Formats: sequence, structure tokens, C-alpha cells
Amino acid sequence: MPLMSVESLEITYMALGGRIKAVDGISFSLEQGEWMTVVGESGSGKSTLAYAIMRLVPPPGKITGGKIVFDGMNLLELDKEKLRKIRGKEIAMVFQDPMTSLDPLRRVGDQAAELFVEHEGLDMEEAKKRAEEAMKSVRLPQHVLNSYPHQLSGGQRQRVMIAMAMSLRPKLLIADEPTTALDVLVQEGIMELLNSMKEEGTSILLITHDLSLAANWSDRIMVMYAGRLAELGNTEDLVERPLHPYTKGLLDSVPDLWSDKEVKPIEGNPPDMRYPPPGCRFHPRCPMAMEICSKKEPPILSIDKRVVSCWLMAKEGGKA
Amino acid sequence: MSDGPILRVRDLKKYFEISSLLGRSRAFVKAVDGVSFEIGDKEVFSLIGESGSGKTTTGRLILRLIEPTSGSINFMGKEIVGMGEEEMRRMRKDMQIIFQDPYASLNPRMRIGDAVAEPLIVSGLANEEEAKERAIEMLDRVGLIPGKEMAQRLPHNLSGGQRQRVAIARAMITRPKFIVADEAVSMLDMSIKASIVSLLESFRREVGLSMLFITHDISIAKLISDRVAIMYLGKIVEMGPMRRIIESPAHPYTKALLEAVPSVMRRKREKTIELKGEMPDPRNPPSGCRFSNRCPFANERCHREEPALVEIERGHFVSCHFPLPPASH
Repeated sequence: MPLMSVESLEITYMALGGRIKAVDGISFSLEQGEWMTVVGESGSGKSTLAYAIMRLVPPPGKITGGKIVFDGMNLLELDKEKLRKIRGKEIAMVFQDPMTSLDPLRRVGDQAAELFVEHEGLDMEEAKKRAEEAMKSVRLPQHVLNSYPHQLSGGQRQRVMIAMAMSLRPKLLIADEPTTALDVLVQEGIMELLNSMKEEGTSILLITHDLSLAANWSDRIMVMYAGRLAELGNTEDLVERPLHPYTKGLLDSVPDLWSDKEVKPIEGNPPDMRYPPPGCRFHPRCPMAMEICSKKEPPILSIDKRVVSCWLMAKEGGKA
Repeated sequence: MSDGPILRVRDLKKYFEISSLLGRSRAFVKAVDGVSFEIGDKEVFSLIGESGSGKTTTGRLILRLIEPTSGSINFMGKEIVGMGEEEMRRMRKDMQIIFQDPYASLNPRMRIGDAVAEPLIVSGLANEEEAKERAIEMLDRVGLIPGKEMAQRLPHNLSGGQRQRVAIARAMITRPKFIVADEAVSMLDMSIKASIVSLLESFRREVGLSMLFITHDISIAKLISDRVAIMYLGKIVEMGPMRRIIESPAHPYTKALLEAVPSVMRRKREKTIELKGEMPDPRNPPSGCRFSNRCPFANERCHREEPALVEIERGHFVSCHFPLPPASH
């Protein structure tokens, strides 16, 4: 049984002048100890999806359909008390900007220790020891414990967040663009930390706009476009034999240090989600678009270990 | 114009004074500490570095958005350090900047046609009517089509990529010889980045634009640069032709940086250089080579003696006592 399965998830923002379906019928499952990366551009719904798993979709957003089954429980049916216990302990999350989750007025060590008091019922002295160990495990110097968040670099703050997330040994870690604001060497260190968590059995759900980063670190990749799943598959299959024209377009548009292939941007822009195009949402930018693509939403097809939502594939005998 | 470089920067320094702990002694951050390079006619030169490397400060010094502590900046044969305001104002039509954040660099209440026309009017190159007409042509040129219609829009009605096209239109409308692009595509979605870079590239081809391209993203720099300099804590540690630096980095820092760049092509990452620790506090750089405390090859000499930037093969410079052996061509 997978650790988590998301079924037909739907998240709607009630906005002035209409409803925006930020996540529209997303299904996938995640195995214990697996690293899956959700790749998408702004407006793809990838972050909204991550927040939904933590039941933290900010208003006016609302989960309007589907299920998230985690470790046998439907997270969407849990009461506040049960949710509070799961957050942090079972499912941890790190965000793009760690300043949003750290209290600027309190020392890092005190904030970390509090986590152990809250989740493991330790007394303050034991909790402080655990906080010390946690910082060591991510190779942060001990003085970090006595520092205030603003005294640390961006990379150090993110490592503090990961240290705190790791130390409770969650079953799932969700990382939402954790390295977008950081330099490549710092990014690499953070990815290595996530990988060490994975090796100890934690499942990783990484959210990023960077397909290269996804390709380097994940077991599977899910590509989202305008709130919908475009393609999902094993990393190697997906980057070497993309089935969806959007996946292919992304691969062609990403410059690569080690290749001289011509870089081709995808024409046009992602849609304004207030007025998504009919049919397949990618069709206005798709070089392969057919008549049906602008009329009817493509089915979600399973082809071997791949999931793809594209009319081209429907014609080639995928099973809906 | 002469055949020489369009820009020649010599021993440029910018020290920022900071308040020290007790407020008694004076302390400095040497944000840019003796940087020299040239940019040729129609050349794209990239400055690459992590935050704190001094790359952005260097770009601002060249445009004299901030004043250098010392050094020389020669632009189109004229020294611009210490140049009077009037002359500098005339010079500015030939040197423009594109910033990272198109949201912040555009006035939210100004229609984009007016925003693009503004530099022409300010520098006295056109009257209001001509400026508006040329702004519409320029909007068409940067792919905001139809320009006549797009000119009426406000920035918030545009996507990030479209706003960056407005910023480029605004920079290009005075027909500058040189622009500084400071992390110009960093905030854009990946499917858009390449199209903005190719727009900049088209200006180089068509009007002979020279460019200083400042970025932390080496893969993007590779798309457009002829030459590149890698900065670390205020200094250039390596400089040379873009392709050569990628295939044969001589500085251990450059090599580590290249190996950390994620890649679809090289998914099994080859790591030959393991750096120690983190970027030091720029207020307190290590003695000798500034990279010595993180370098796996550093010895006693590196901690004591600062290496000079020397040419190790034609056009390829490195500042390291023990450069890595060159890869064969």
C-alpha cells in the first residue's frame, strides 16, 4: 500500500468575478521512501497542491473535491486535534522562505527545542539537547542555536528548518521550492540533506519550477500545467522519452550546461487562470494541437508506468 | 568609434563602511575589491557569482548608480569615474540597465507605452509625440503585439515575461551601445527564460549591442555569453571564453560551482570537489586567498599569500596558486 494516495483532488479559489480551479482533478500515489517531484510554472497549482496535503490552503481557497489518504486516513476528514498531531510529526513541510515559519524575535535554539516539548513531551533540558543534535545533523555550527533568524544566511535558515523537520522523523517531507532563492552550492547541500532523509525511509515530495533539479534528485516526476496533470512517470522515462508535448517543450526550453542542443522556448504564456482555455489547457501553446484539443478535455491515460493527459496519446491506444 | 573595447574597467573597488560592534573603529565590507575586465564591441560578457560575490555592485558601479571607492571605468573612450553630471546624463542614453524584478522597476500607474517613451523624453531625444510613436514600434519589436494596443495597458495586466519585455523595450528605446542585464531572467518561469534571452541576443545581432550579463545561473549565461568572469567575495577568480571555462575550469571554486549546477543531461552527478564550510562573512574574509578556507587543495601558501590573476592559456585567466590542469581542447 502506498504511503499516500491523492485521488481526484480539486481546489477552488473563490475570487471576485468567479471561481478559479487551481488544482483540477489531480491523482497520484507516493510510496514509502520515494522521492517524487512536482514540476510546474507559476499558476500550475503545484504549491496549492502541497499546501492542501498539510490542509493549509490559504483562504479564499478551498478543497472542493477528492481525497488525500495518508497512512490509511483521509486527511480531508480529520478534526483539528488529529491534524495538529500529524503536522510536523508525520508530515513536515519546509517553505521557500523560512522566515515565514521562524519567529523573528526568538532564538533558533528555543524554537527548535519547543518542537520537541510539543511533539515528544520532553522537558526543556532534554529538548535543548535534541535541538543541539538536530543542528549537528545538518552540519550547522552550535552558535546557530543562540542566534536569531535574521543573523543567519538564507541557506542556514533553510538548514535550520530541515533540521527541525528531520528530527521528528516524519514519514513524509513536503518541500515547496526550498532552494529557489539560494545559490547552487547551497542548493546542492540542501538536496543532499533531503536525500539523506529519503535514505532513512522518509518520502519526499519536492515542489519546484526547475526541471533539471527534479531530474537530478527524484525517483518520479509529475508535470503540472494550469492546475492539471500533464504527465507523470519515472524520472528517466519522462526526461528521455517525454510523451506530453508540454513536457517535451519544457525539456527543450531548459538550457543545459553539458549539452549543445538548441534551446527552444515554448511560445506564448501560461493561461490566466480566471479564463482558462477550453479543452486541453495547453492547446493554445501546443505545436501538435489538433481540432479536438480545443474542444474536449483530454482523458487521463495510463501507459505502462506513465500517466499522461493528451489526445495524441489517446489516439495511440492508451487506456483511459 | 574606435575598434577598442566599449568598456574597460581597471582595478575597480567599492568598500562599504559598516558600523562595528562598539562603534569605535571603522570597518569595511570590500564588496568589490580590485576588479578589472574589458567588454568588446558587440560582446556579451557574463559576471557569475553567488550572493555576496560583488557581481551586482560591479554592475551598478559601471552605470554609476553608486560611486566607486577607487578605480577607472572607461566607456567608449571616456573616463566616467568623476565625470560631471551633465556629461554623464548624455552618456546614459548609451548605457542602460535591465533589473531582475520587472514588478519593482515599472511604475504601476504608468501605461506601458508611456513607460517606454519616457527615457526618450527625459534625455531630450524626442518630443512627446515622436516618443510615443517610437515606443509603439519598440513594443512591437520586443514581441508585445500589437504595440499600439499593448501601449495602453498597465503593468499589472501583464505576465512576468511580458513585463520583462517592457523593461527591455524601455532600455533599448534610446538605442544604447551597451546594457547591463542584472539577473534579468532569474524570476521568470523556465519556459519564458529562453525567449527573453533570445530577444536580447537579437538586439546584439541587429544593432551591435554589447552587454554585461550578471547572473548566478551559469546555464543561462552559457546561452548568450562570449566570455565570462567568476567572482568570489569581491574578486574575479577566473575569467575566459565561456566554452573553455565550462570544459576546463582552472579554479577549484569554478569547478565546484559547475558541478553543482543541476542538469537533465548529467543526471548522475560527478562530484570531484568537495567544498568545506560556507561562504565566509564578507566583513571578515580569510587572509591570503579568499577561497582558502573552503578549498580542498589549500596549503600554507594559500592561507598566507593572495594569488594574482594570471593568464594560463590564451585569454584564460585564473587567480589560484595551484590551478587545475587544463582539459584537452
